[in-house]
Amino acid sequence: MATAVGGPARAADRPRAAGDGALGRETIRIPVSGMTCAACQSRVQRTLQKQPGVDDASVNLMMANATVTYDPSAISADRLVEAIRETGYGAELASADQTAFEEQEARDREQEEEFRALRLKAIVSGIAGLVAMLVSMPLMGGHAMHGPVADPFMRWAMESLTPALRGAAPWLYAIPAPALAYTLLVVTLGVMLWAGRHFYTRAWAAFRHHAADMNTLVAVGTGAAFLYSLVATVAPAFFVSRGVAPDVYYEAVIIIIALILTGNAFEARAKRQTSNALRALVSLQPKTARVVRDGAEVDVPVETLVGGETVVVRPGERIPVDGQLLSGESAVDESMLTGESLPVAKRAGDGVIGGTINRTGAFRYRATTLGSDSVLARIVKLMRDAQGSRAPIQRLADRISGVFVPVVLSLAIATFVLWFVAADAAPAVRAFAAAVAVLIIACPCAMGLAVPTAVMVATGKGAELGILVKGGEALQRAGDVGTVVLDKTGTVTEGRPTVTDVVLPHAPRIDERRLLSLVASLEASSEHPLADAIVRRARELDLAIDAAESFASATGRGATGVVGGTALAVGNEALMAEWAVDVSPLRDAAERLAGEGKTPVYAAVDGALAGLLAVADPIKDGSREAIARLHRMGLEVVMLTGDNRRTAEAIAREAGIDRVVAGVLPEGKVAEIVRLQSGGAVVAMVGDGINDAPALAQADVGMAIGTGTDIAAEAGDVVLMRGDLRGAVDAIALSRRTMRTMKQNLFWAFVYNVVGIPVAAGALYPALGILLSPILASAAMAFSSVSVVTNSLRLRRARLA
Amino acid sequence: MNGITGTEWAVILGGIAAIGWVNWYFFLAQRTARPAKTRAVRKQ
Repeated sequence: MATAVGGPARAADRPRAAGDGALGRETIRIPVSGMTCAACQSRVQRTLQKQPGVDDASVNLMMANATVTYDPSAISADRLVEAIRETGYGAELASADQTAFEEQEARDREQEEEFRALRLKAIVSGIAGLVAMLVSMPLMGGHAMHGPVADPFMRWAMESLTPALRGAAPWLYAIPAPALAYTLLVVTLGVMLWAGRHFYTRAWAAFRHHAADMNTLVAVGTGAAFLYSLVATVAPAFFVSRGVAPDVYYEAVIIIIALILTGNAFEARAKRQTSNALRALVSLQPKTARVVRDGAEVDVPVETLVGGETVVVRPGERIPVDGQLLSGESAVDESMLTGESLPVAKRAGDGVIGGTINRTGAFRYRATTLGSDSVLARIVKLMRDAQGSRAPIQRLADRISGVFVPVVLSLAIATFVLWFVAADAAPAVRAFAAAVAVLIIACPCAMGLAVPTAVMVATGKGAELGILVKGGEALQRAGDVGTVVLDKTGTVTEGRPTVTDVVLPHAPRIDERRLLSLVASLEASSEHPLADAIVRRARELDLAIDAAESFASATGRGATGVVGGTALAVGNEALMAEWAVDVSPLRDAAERLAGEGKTPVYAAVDGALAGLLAVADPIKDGSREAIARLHRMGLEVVMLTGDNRRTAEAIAREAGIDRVVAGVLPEGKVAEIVRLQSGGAVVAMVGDGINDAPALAQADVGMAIGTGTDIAAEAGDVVLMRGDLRGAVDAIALSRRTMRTMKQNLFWAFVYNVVGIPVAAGALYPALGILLSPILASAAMAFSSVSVVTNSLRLRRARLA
Repeated sequence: MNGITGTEWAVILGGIAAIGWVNWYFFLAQRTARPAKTRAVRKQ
């Protein structure tokens, strides 16, 4: 169960408007305070969903916020806030100028305050409970006014302690019973009004809106026990005249409140731990930067930095903001963002990311993206959004918690009636104890926490491994993946091909250097990785690279154009066929090179074949290991490539991939994924976040291999910041593990209630004579939520390899 | 049902009534109350 203690609505998140011009829709996030369980969450969500103009509303108990997509012409943000307040919870639009860091820091402060307040209340009410128990003891055991304590656990504890107390404090037994009862009344009232006040105020707020939540159960359970005791204290004769002992349950009320508060405090602490990874990311942001102003180096707060300023970083220091190196060289530890343990070499022109650590050399760099646009801020935002999102499996818990509390109230009434009619002795006492136990043990909180806590811990764990999962839905889908489609270039291979061979026909029209120079001049206009390899090779050989007079890209086939008055066609056999170029003199060589995993590129000059270039893209270090792990996990691995079949198969053989789809044009990747999906496969696509964006979008789970600074802008449901295929395997393993945790949590949350409620109602009494004490019920209730959160926290230590 | 006392009958009937009321209040009254609230809001 989650508990936010008292106070007005607090602004932890600023509203985020993500305008969608086409539809005129906006999305806003509103911090909501006072939600304590799944029923609260369900109530706020239902209310928002029913507002006119609201397309979608999702309330997150863990993040204590509501994300609403709405039509601003039909309803205003202020009206949405008002609608939440009408349900009895606090809500307010936060300051629009807060950065992601400030938002998170504010949330951390709140969580810390919440934990401290709960701990204080739990300790004080726990001490009060013990005192009340001792003070109650003289009232039991055949006292003229007071009958046996109703709660079986309390009765057992008191009976065990009575001899010791009689010996240690005989004066207690000399105090008149009414004085003791009134003392207990005052202490109980104090605890209820101070430590437990929020249970009653929130239960009342919910009741007024025809809703019920965890607070309702606690308030009705303890409230009924208190009112019964109050009447027994003020007018014991009323009970005695009807043959009922005027029992008081003050100590039970206090101890139940103390135990529930203790559970809440543990839970608040555990919940805080679920966002440790996010906190660690926020803490990466340095507070100051050393900049060059008026020729001098000065330390300034990072908020005052402006784009274009020169920043100075020394070895061992954290890089304050994103930027581009102007001078100096160093190795930078980016492991905190990418999960890559080896430092990355940086020299002039290279980009650096704010929050990473400069290891070896000093350098100066130009600040580029700042504030909320920085890579770190975008990652923090992305993680916060992901942690606040819902996994589809949550719907089950939502459906149940929506009706849970009224059903429990009905069960408690039925329990009272059955016990009252059927009990062999002291029917009122037993009926009362069993009904209160049912109210107290029923716990919708564990259901509300089962899924979101797992999502929070898993997204944090993913970030530590350099895996950014963009939400609970992606996390759940990744666990169901059966087929993993890999793009070849840049995913399985380095994506930085190099020219390995140049083959000329028997009677060459031009020599090798001239051929390379011409082809490089044409390819300089292309952004294709193969073109880059040819241009690089020409530069290495100091060959002239002229400007192309014309250039046309033939997607998936190559490029054509004119360089220095020479007509050129550079590409695969299909392109040559289009240009009626006979490739037969070099076909054997091309096939041999393709068989070695190299990509043969024909070059035609003025309509005749002039040569053949072979470009090879080495397989990445981690690819073989990653593919072997995917196979061990029982997944089918498919490689898609625009390369010819022989080259693709050679690469696939080397990498250990069993299925290859070669010669696929970019648009063909989408069709191939659709084909796999139509066969019933749940498909994950791993590829470049920009070039493969359509295929990533089509796949059930799109995993974008991120590279440096555009990490957070990548398409896809999952961003692999390490740029390594092993991240994709870790993401799927993490997802499977998370799903297992969610299912365990839901199972235990349901089983707890399915077993706990009948036991509390006395189902075991006829056969075994076992009756559950309301006090034990309150301990069990506290335990159920804590156990769910603790189970989710185990994900932090999960070994995925 | 001869063994059931008047007090017990009262508790049984009271219990049934209470269960009925709880379910009406939290499930049915909630639905009938909402349109009225929405209309009130629109007037503002």
